[in-house]
Amino acid sequence: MRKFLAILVCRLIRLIGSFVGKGTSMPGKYALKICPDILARIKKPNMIVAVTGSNGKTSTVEMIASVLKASGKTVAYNAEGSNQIEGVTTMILNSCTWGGRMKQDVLLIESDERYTKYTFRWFHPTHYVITNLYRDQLTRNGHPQWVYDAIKESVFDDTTLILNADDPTVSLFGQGRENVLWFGLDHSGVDSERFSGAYNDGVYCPVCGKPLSYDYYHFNHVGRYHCDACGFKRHDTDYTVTDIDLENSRIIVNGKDKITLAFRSIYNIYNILAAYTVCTLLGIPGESIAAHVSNYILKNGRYIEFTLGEHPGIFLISKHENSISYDLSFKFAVAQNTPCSIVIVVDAVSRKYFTSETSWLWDINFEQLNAPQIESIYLCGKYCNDLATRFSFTEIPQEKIKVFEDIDAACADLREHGRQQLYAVTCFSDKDKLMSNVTVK
Amino acid sequence: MELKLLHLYDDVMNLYGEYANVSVLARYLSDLGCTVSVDTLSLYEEKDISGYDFYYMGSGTERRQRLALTQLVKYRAALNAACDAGKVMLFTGNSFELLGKKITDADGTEFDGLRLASFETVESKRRITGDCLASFDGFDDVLVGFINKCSRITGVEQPLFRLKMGFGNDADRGAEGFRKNNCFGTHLTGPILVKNPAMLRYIAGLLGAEHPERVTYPFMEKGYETTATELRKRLEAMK
Repeated sequence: MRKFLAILVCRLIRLIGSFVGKGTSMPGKYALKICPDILARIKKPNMIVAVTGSNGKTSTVEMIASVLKASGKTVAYNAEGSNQIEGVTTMILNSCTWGGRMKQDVLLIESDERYTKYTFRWFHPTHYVITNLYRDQLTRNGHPQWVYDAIKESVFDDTTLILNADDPTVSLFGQGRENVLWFGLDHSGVDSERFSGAYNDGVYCPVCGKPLSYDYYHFNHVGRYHCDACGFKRHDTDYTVTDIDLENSRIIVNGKDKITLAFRSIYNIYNILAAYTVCTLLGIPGESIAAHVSNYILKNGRYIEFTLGEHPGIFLISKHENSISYDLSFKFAVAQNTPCSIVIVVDAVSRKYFTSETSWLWDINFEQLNAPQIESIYLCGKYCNDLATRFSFTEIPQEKIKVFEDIDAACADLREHGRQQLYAVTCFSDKDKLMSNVTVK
Repeated sequence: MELKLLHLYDDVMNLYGEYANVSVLARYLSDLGCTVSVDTLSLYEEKDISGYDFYYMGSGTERRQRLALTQLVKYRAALNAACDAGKVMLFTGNSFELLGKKITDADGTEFDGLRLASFETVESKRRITGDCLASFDGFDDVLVGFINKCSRITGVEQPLFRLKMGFGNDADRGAEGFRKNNCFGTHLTGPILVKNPAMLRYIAGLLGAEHPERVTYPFMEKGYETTATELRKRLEAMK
C-alpha cells in the first residue's frame, strides 16, 4: 500500500510540477518520505546501467539511451539530469507500472558522484561506468580523492565495473578486482609526450605515492602511465579507440568500427567510447552503434552555434570550478586554427549555490590561448577582474585582453567590431546571459 | 634588496591554485625594486632549505598531506630554526596542520606533526566548506577567502584571524589559523595573497620592502572589492 501511495504521490507532484516548470527531484523526495525503501521494492529490469564521474555523465547517458531506443530496446533513464537519489526515484516511479514493475529492457541512471552511495544502498547496478575523476566543484564536492572515497561506498562485488583505464584515479577502482571492463584510447596523433596543464594530478602514484611515469598524455593527467615502484599501471583495454583522425572528424573503435564525430573534441571521444562499451554489452552489434553515434549531435545543449553581428560563434559550454572542462574547450577552440576571438564569462560561479571562490581560475591552462590566430580575448561578468589578474600571469600579449564587467556591453562591442569567429566559453550558470545577446542557428 | 622565496612541495600541495601566492609575491617584490628568486622543493628532493627569506606551502588532499609529512619531517629542525629566527612563513589550507603536535585521521590513526606549535588536528568524514570573511590585526581591510577542510583544530595559542563568516579552527565564526613569530598558518585556501591585496602588502612589508603601497594592481584591487562586497551581502542575508 505504501508503495502504491509513493508512486501515486510521486506522479501527482511530477504532473503538477510539469505544468509549473518545477524540477524533477521534489516528487522523488516525497515518495522517499512515504516509503523510504521504495527503490528496493520496485521490480527493476535485469540490466541496470549506472554512469558516474566528474565529466561526461549526461552526454554518455544520452548517447546510450539513443542507441538503445534506435535498436528497438526500451529504456528508462533520467534524461533531465536530476541525478541524486530523489531525481532517480522520480524517474523510476514514473517509469514503472502502478504495481511497481518496470517493463523496460534497461534501467539507465546518471548518478551524482557524491551521492551515488545513497541510491545504490537500495539496489546494485549490473554495470557501472566511471568516466573520470577530476577537480570539479571543489567548494561543494571536495577534491577527487574525497569523491573517490564517496563513490567507493557505492561499488559492490556483484557489479561489473566499466572503467576509464587512462585516468589513474578511476583505475584504482579496478585494483584487485575481477569483474572489470576497461575502456581507453590507444596512442594517436592527439597525444603529447609532454604534460600540459596548470597543475598535474598525475605526478605521483595514487597507490604508493612514488613518482608516476607517463609514456604519453592524451590530455592533462589522462594517458598511459606506470609506477616503477609498485607496478600500478594503465590497464590494457577491452574497448578501445584504436585510431583518431581529428582533422577528418573520424575515430575507429576496436580496430573496426568507424565513427564520424559531430564534435571534434577528446571528451566527446571518451563519451562515445563509454557509450559504445555499454551498448555492446547490451548486445547491440558494434557496427550498429557506430552508425548511430556517427555525427550524433548531443541534445543537452553543450555545443551551440550562433551569430553575433557578423560573427559566427560557437558556445563551448564548460563548467565553472572545473578546470579540465575549460582546458578542453580551449584546446578545441585553438585546434580549429581559424582567426577568432575568445569570450569567457564568469558571473555566477554556480547556479545552485552561492560562492565567491575563484581559486579554480588558477588551475585553468589559459596559456593555450597564447596563439597567433586568437585576435582578442573578452573577459566578462562579475569576476572579470579576477580573470584579468589571472591573465596577467600568462604570456598572452595584454593588448589582446578586453575586460567587461557588463556582459551586454561586451556583446555590443563585438557586434560593432569585426566578423571573426567567436568561441564563447562559459558555464550553464552564465550561458543565458550571453544567449540573450546572440542569434542561435 | 635580494629576497629568496621557497615553495615547499608545490608538486603535491597544490589543490587550489596556490602557486599563485608565490607568483604574485615574487612579482610584487620585484615591482617594488627587490631582486627576487623563487625555488621549489619537490616531494622527494633533499636539499638545504635554510637561508630563505620566505617559505610557503599550500593545500593537498588528506592523503597527499600525509605523504608530504613523511618527507617534511626531515626539515623539522630547519623549519623550526627559520620560525625562531623570525623568517616569514605562510602555510595555507591543511599544510598548516603539519606544524602542530599531531593529526588524527577519520579512522583514528595518529600522525606526529612537526611540533612547531602544540595544537592538534582531528579529521572527520564530514567536509566543512564555505566562503569566509576574516579580520586581522595587521591591517584594516577585511580578508576574503574560502575554507575547505575536514578537520577541527584545537589548542592554538595564538590564532591568526577572527572570522566574521565561515568556520574557524574549531567553531563557526571563531578564531582561525595560527601564528608564531612571522610564521602564519590559515585554512583559507588558494591564492589568498591574490585575493587579499592588503595581505600581500603586509607580507611584503615584513620582508622588508619599503612603502609597499606605492605599487598596486588595479584588477586585483577591483577583484577584491567584488568578492568583499559579495560576501558582505551574503553575511547580511544570513543575519
